[in-house]
Amino acid sequence: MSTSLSSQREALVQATDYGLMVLGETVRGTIYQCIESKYQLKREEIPEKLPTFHKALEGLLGASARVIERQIAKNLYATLGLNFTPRKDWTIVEYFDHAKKAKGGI
Amino acid sequence: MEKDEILKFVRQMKPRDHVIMFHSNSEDKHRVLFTYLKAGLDQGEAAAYIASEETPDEIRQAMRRFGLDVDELERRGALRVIDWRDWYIVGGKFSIAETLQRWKRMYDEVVAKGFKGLRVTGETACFFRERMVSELVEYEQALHRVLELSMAAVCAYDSRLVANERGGELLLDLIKSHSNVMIVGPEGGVVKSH
Repeated sequence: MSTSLSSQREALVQATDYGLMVLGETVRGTIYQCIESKYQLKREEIPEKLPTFHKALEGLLGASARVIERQIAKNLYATLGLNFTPRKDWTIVEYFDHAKKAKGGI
Repeated sequence: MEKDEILKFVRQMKPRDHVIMFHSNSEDKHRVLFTYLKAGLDQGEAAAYIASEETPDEIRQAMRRFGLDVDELERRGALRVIDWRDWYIVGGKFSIAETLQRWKRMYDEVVAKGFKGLRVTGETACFFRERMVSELVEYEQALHRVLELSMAAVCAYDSRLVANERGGELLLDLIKSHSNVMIVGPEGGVVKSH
């Protein structure tokens, strides 16, 4: 079943909220504040500016960012009813592109 | 979070604090860990560094570049830089009980010499190389026993090693199961603190 691009984007924002919660609510808030002040990226804009979000996470978390992004992707796929398969070299950008295609959002 | 805030956090660590740090390069690791140890040394505590990502001599050289007077500190027993084979995995074996005993002995020695406390740090890379990651996780859980003593500890993990372990699940488990976690990236970092 296809879903609209806007609902996929909303799902990504929620998946990001859940994924970052592994670090706790305070740290999640710090990350959102930091990417807004340093990268001019608001939480709601993450789906439109996903490469910037990826860059911001890598800047803040280094190699750990890949694990957090995988966690976000896992949440996203579950919300969209897709089977999640971890891919070693994929970032959140590739996961979201794949999910959009799978749900017929583009 | 800016790097300066991370440095402020480690400077202000207190006895019995146990922090897990994930870093992505040696430069960040040196800056954070040496700042943490120096803060203790400046207030009359002793310090110990267990090296396993780099050799003890490489650590000593990096400490000198950072501005620590390594020779003088070692001479008066304020600083010890120890090879992982003499501390964690001795003779190819890792024993949690023996490692905790070593920490306790070191603590007793420095207090007997008149130091106010002890700040320690250990690089964990050797556990990944020697395929002893489960033992390491168990050790992390047990470490609070020696932290009943007036010492602080930072366990340093190379993010690149941890991120590849168990498909990233190890990193998530360590973050979830510890109240004090510090992640240092190239442009900043985050601190999860209780």
